[in-house]
Amino acid sequence: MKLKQNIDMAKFIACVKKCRADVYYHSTEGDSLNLKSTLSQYIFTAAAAGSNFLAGGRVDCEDEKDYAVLADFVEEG
Amino acid sequence: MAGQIHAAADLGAWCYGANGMFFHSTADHQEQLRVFLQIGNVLQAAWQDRDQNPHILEDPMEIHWISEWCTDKGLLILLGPFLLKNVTTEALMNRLGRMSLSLQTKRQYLGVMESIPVMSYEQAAQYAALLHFTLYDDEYERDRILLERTGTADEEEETQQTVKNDYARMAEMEAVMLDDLKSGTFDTEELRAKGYQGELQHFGLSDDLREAKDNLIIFCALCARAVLEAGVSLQTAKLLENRYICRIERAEQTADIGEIMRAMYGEFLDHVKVLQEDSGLSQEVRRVREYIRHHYMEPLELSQLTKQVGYSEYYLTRKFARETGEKLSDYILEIRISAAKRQLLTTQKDIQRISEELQFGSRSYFDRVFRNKVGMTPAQYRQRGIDRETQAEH
Repeated sequence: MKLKQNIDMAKFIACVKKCRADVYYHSTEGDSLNLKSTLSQYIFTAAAAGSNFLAGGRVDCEDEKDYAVLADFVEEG
Repeated sequence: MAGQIHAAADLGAWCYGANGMFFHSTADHQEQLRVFLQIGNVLQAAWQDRDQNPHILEDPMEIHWISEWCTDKGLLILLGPFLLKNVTTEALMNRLGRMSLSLQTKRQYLGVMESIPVMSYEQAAQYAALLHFTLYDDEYERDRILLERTGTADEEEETQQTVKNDYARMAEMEAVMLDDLKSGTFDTEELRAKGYQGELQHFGLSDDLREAKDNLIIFCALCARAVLEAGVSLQTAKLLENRYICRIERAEQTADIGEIMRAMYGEFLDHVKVLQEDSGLSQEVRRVREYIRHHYMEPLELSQLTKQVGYSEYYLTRKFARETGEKLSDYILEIRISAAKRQLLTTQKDIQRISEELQFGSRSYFDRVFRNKVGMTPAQYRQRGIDRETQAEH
């Protein structure tokens, strides 16, 4: 799933924390972050200010049901 | 007061309204730090501490904040962030080193972390007392101020997740590379798109060099098995495997391991490609080509080659040219140029040394032959490879 533009970063991470299984973010630059990890959440937040980090990035949930938890932040594509 | 503290200690001041609304901050990197406040549970903890006492809060990443609730005005005031110990860039890089991150992302994270000031606990307690005095005109004993943790990042959990991530990525890369070996193709763009940067993964054992060697020896054995499945002879596969295991064992630093891996993978791949090209050739010509591929670093005399198949020099050269469409001497040159290209890109060997090892004799002859075949000199070819790698990193 693609990450929507202009999301509220804190709310997004709060929802990630509610997910049952691991949630990965893959940027077009080759980054791969497991957003359930605390360190990754901080890196994700810091990197999000970079111009290309969020553009075209993909969110992959290990558990399909977790996409419903993140529905406000991701879209098909 | 906010201005003075910011000037004196580079410490930002933050103000939140009673309804949780963010009002103002004097800190740099506000956008990211506001999210840090929330994901580190600092804001939530500060909201609960409405007791007219200053607090020093430590988040799961050991980033600290001073907070106090201003009852009269219904405001939450925070000072921060700051660190209580000096975290070096090297330590931060080590922590990030195990993760699959681009250079740009590492820079962004380090930029934020390095902007956070470092101070002693005594200094932090002083600022907390100053904040309390400003809000309530009351002197607060610094000894009474305690550190409160808002959560902990489970190191073991972090490591497990990172390693799990790395194992998955490494397994995927290995599968792609071994499939490529079997098919005789190599798609660097695909590997780069998946975040592969030509390095081997490390899993936190104490001896990095030993670990890197073990990883590559295992990968070498997998490559040998893959080329065997692709039809390369057992003798060739084992010869390559043994040669590279010896080279891996001789490596003196981890930086050499990546170089050896690229050379090793390239050579295994070349053998599969050549095998595909050899299909349709007579057994004798295949045997001569294989002999050349194994002995291209030695002076190759025509008499040696004829011994391999039992033909006369005249008959062998004609048969070779008829079946392959090129002269025997051109094929030897092609194999040596191919090896030279591989060494120029994957090693730091002196060009003169490459020229000698590949039996070109003089450097000027090597330059001339290389330019005729490749369209540029060996030095230009090496520089172009370096430029492309630099561009890919950026």
